[in-house]
Amino acid sequence: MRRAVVTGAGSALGHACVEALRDADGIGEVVGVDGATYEGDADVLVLAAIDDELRTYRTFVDVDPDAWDRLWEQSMRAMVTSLQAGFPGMRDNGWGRVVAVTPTASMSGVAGLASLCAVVEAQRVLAKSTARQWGAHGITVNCLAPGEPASAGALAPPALAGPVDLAGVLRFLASDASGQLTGATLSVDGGVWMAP
Amino acid sequence: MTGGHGGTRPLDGRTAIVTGSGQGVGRGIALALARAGANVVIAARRTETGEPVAREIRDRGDVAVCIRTDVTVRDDVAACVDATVARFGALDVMVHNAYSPTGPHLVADAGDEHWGPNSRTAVWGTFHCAQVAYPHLRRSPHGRLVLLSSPAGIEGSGGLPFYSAVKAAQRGLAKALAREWGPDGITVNCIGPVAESPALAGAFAANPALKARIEARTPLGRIGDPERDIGGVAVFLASDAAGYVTGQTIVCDGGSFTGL
Repeated sequence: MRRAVVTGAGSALGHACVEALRDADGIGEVVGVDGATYEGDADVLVLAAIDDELRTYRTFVDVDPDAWDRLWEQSMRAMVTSLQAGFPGMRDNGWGRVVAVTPTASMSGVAGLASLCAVVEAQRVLAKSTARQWGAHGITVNCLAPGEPASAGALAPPALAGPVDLAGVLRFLASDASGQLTGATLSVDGGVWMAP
Repeated sequence: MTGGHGGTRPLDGRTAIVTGSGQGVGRGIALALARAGANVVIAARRTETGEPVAREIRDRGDVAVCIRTDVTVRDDVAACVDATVARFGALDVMVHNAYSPTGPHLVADAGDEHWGPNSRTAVWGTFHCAQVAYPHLRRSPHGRLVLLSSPAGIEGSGGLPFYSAVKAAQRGLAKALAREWGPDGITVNCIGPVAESPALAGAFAANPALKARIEARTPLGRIGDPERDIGGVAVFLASDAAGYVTGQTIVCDGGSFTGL
């Protein structure tokens, strides 16, 4: 049975990821952590840590430079730390699933969320580069893009009715079934953002 | 001769800063913007590389000055913008091209020697240039922020993960700022070039087969020329012709990347 680790588990998104994986076939243990580091190995690593400050709407020219530096560096270093911690075990097992949670806001751009758009887009493309480097080891790296935070009224209405639940897509990305999918970004937002 | 809808000097009367313009793509963009009529500020980290480019532009009958600028230092950027506005009366176009190349690296074990230079120049540099330029771009009737990104910042490079990440950060920022600054009449776009540069020449020297490989997979069969190929796109984005284009990444790489 596989072990899943979710970083940023204290947030609503992180919590949803933990709950989704608890019901997943083949996963025997789900560990949620608040920070970037965790004990032991992970077969499935979900990176759901998004600093609250990134979600705060701010006029870009009012963003304090030192605060920006800290937030950018912390966010990126956290992702790299988690990836570097996960790699050896996945490589040795010849199997791994990494899922980065990357809100669709970074692909559409949202006024007032410049910091989030920069950080999340960097994380999304870092995931792609990582996918290219780790594929030979049977490790896939994909992005799951939830629709929050959203650009109020700027995009098309959702194609699907009802509340958005990322559980099914996350379980798929964490499973054997997604073994041929890597470097992808799957929007799970009710059918609002449809990539080119 | 007024700026506007083309003619040979569509940027007449406008002022542009180009960071990292002492060589490579930045130099090519500076030459092209100056040829199109702009007053160009060569914001190079070292005057030894920037001054010759400014002189080359002036020798061609165009307008340029070199102001030594380290984009990772906020005060340098502020001083450069202040001096530009003092000298030319306005700032209409801010082109942030400067970057610090690092060699290939692996996500699994790469450290600060690869992260730091990429992060500081591309991301902190963009942050400083954008924030400091904003009030002037807003005052201009045709304010433009142009960031030099890369196809690697869209599809992720297998050899340069941290470079790819920071080039992607610039695209994310450009989209957010395009939405935020649109009401101010400022456009924000990225260029994703593949062109000759000292960094690329170094890569070819280290790996002679690389140039042939790139040319083989490029529909137009060659590496881009910084002034003609990339500079031309920069002139377009700076001019009125692109006044309705914002939040975009124009990839100019001979057709290699077709992911958009």
